[in-house]
Amino acid sequence: MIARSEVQEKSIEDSRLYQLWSAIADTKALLKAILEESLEAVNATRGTISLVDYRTGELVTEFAAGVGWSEEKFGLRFKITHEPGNSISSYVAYSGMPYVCPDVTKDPYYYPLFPDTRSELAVPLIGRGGRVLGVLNVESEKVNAFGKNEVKVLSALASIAAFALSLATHQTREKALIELGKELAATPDIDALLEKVTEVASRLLDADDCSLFLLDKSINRLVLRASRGLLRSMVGKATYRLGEGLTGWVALNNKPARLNGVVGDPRWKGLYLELKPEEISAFMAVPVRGRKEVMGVLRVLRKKAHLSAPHYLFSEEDEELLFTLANQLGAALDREELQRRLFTMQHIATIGELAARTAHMIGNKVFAMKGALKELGLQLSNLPLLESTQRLLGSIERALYEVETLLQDLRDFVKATQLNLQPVCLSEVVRELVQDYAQEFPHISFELQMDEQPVWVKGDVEKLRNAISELIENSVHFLKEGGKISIRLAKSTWVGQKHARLIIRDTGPGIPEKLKEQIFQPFFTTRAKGMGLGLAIVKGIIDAHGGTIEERGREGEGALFIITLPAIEPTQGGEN
Amino acid sequence: MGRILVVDDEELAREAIKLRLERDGHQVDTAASEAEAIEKIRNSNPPYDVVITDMVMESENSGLEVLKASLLRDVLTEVIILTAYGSVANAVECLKRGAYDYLEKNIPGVDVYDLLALKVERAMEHRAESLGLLKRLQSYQQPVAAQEEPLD
Repeated sequence: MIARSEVQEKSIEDSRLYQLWSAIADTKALLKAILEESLEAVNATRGTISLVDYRTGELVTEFAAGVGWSEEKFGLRFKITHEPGNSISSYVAYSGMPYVCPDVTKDPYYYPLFPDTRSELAVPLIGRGGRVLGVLNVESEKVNAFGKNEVKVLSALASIAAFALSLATHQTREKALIELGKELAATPDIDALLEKVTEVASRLLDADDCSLFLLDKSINRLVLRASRGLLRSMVGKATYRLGEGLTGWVALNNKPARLNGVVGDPRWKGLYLELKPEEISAFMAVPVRGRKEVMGVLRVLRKKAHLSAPHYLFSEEDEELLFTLANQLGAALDREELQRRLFTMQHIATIGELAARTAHMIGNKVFAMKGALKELGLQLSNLPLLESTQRLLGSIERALYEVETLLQDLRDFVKATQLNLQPVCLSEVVRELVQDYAQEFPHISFELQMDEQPVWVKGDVEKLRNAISELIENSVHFLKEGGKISIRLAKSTWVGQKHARLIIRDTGPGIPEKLKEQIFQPFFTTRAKGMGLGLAIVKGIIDAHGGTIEERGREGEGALFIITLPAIEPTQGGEN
Repeated sequence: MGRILVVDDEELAREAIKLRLERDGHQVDTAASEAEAIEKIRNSNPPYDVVITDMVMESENSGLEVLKASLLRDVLTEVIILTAYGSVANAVECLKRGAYDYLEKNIPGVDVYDLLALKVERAMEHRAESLGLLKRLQSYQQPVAAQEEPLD
């Protein structure tokens, strides 16, 4: 009875816990202090704080206090279960409720550790969302040592311990997020940054693997860009269609997915797996959201410790964290895209200005030379000339005309980005072009595939026509008799944004891998004629429309150009 | 044949145009800048029949200034604008403000000098027509003015 009154008098505020509160960063010291405080508060002989190992579904003794502890009794692991004989703590971790055992000799859950133990009291450490983090357990050599008051006091101390544990997790996560934020802002290499995100996500979420898929608009697929484990070798190769598998579902619906295991989920396809399905303990994926649209999917997995281990689920808190990571990434990707576009535009503008001035000067000189040449020709026409002299005059004239052709190319290049925007029925433009080219080049077969619904875009009809013509002409140039050009136009919807996708594929020699980087650069050509501004102009036009163009063919299998342009509704076609 | 002023800051170009037009029997003056051109236009007597001017010289709008000076001197002077590099937009602006025509200096495969000579011929005809019309208008107005008086 004396012990009990002491319990009531002793208030938590007086305790040395409050001195420790200022040193809250040291969670271990705090938990130890709580344990010691507990023994004193309820007059117990010894006690433990055990924490849940979610991965194995076991309870691990982490802290012990009181008399009689030895090495081999330390670090014991108990299966968390309602089955008897697995320790009282383990049953409390299972039930999530305090448990008073007045006499251990009659208790089914009791696991004998000390011969003098007579009674026990165990309370759970409950974290956010009712999750059991661990168990605070005290015991006494007296029978029936613990009652209602002890339960109350111990529960209060347990809640402080639980709070300290949650806070520690929270602080670790916060710190990592701040660090990642700094890196996202400072890392210029986008691939290194994606790696970093998967690394941080794995570490913070206690996940065994993390993969990041980003949308590639030109092929309308999610492409694996970074992964930690097994899938690493598939980076750049593994792809999901929108809506395909859980990953595709997350991207298409712009919603997170959080499951225990994946076997049995109807959305699961298991195309690309970090783990065998039966090894997956829990799966979580969130969309990576950019300013305007979903840009990709970030997914994490936990592996089962062994096949019969319980599911180690991702919590709501985990989901929030993954969302935060994904949002930070989305913002960084947005910024990167903006910078890239700005740089390209400035680059083009600089080239444009330089080109315009140079062309103006050259044009003037060429004009003068043509005039002088003409007068020279007239003056010489009265004299008897050698045939070779006539030829030389002709060559000079032709060369001058060629210079003028180059000037025109340059002008086209500069003008490519100056658009006169109108609603344009892209379907009609493509159909007309294909008809014209099919007539002009009967030795090549043209195949056109289009949706019944016409596809509209906001654009400069002349420039778009030029761009598509250039691509078709490019194909024609490299095709032999009997070659084929397939053109496909379709509308694709991508969370909130509709895109027109135009695919031009030919059966020519294709573009060598090592040249792919350069084909869209100005002044690159493998053709003898012209300046090689063709594809650079095409890209300039498409970029200026807010679209993308890429070459996806394989060398030896023909060229494959994919253009995407932001689509508009046909009804908008009538406006403006 | 016509009295023509050729304005271009490129000496070779001026000379080549002058030679070409003189072959057609025109009397050709030249000016090497916007300022020199405006000076010559103001002091011309009688005014030039046709002024051929480069669009871009001292400024982007040199051609426009030469056009203004020409029309101020004689509203029926025909002005042809030359553009070297795609300043078509400026040239179109000149057309709106009363230029007779414009010509791109660099059209691959086209003999621009012959084309210019042709445009000058047309400009001369146009000017002659306008002058004729003006004369008829004046002779028409005089009797009307005479008739109106008694009614007052």
